[in-house]
Amino acid sequence: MASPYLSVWRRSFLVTCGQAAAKGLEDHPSKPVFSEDSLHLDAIVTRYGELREQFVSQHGMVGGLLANHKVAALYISILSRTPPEHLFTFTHETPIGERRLALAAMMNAVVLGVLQIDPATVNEALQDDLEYCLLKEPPSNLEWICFGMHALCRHLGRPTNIKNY
Amino acid sequence: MNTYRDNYETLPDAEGLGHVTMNNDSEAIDYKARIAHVQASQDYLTARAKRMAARVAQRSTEE
Repeated sequence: MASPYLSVWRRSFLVTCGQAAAKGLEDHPSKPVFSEDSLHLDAIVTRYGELREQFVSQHGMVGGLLANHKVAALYISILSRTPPEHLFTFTHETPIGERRLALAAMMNAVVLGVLQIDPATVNEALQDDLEYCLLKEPPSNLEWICFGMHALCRHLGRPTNIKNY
Repeated sequence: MNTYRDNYETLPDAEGLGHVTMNNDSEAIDYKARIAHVQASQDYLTARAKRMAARVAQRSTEE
């Protein structure tokens, strides 16, 4: 395992993304507030570490490091399974269907941060599609999320070392 | 099971690609920089959140 501070950084990153989502929705009737001290957040960071180690050991990454699109996929895989109430508080009359909005906005921030996406280069149609998926039920297959994240990287013109046939 | 993950190869020429972290030798993520990037992109994230909210609202009125 790498630096013990790493989980602190991962947590801080998720807090930043959650706060960015809450800020983005401050005018929304659900008024989400990010629960910075949530124990669920600690559980997510732990789960991320476990899943990451599993992923790395299965695929034998050099130096135990993962490509960015996989890191993003792991975060999405975990966050998309997290009930929004675990990370945000809402006004009590917020319909269940609208609570995922905050989570989707948070996942958007995670993808932007991990993949270092420059907002100026975003293709709006592609981003709409991504958000459609984030608003939906959790994807069941990590491989497909990896694919989606990788496709996004390819679209953004990031060189990749996945072999072309 | 063969998946695309079994087909990694090193980039033939890494010159000028110092910023690229999309390979098996990815650099550790600099979370400090990522946090700053998310914070700097707040306007964009707000715009997207509002767009999603409008989308959700539209769908709920249809049902």
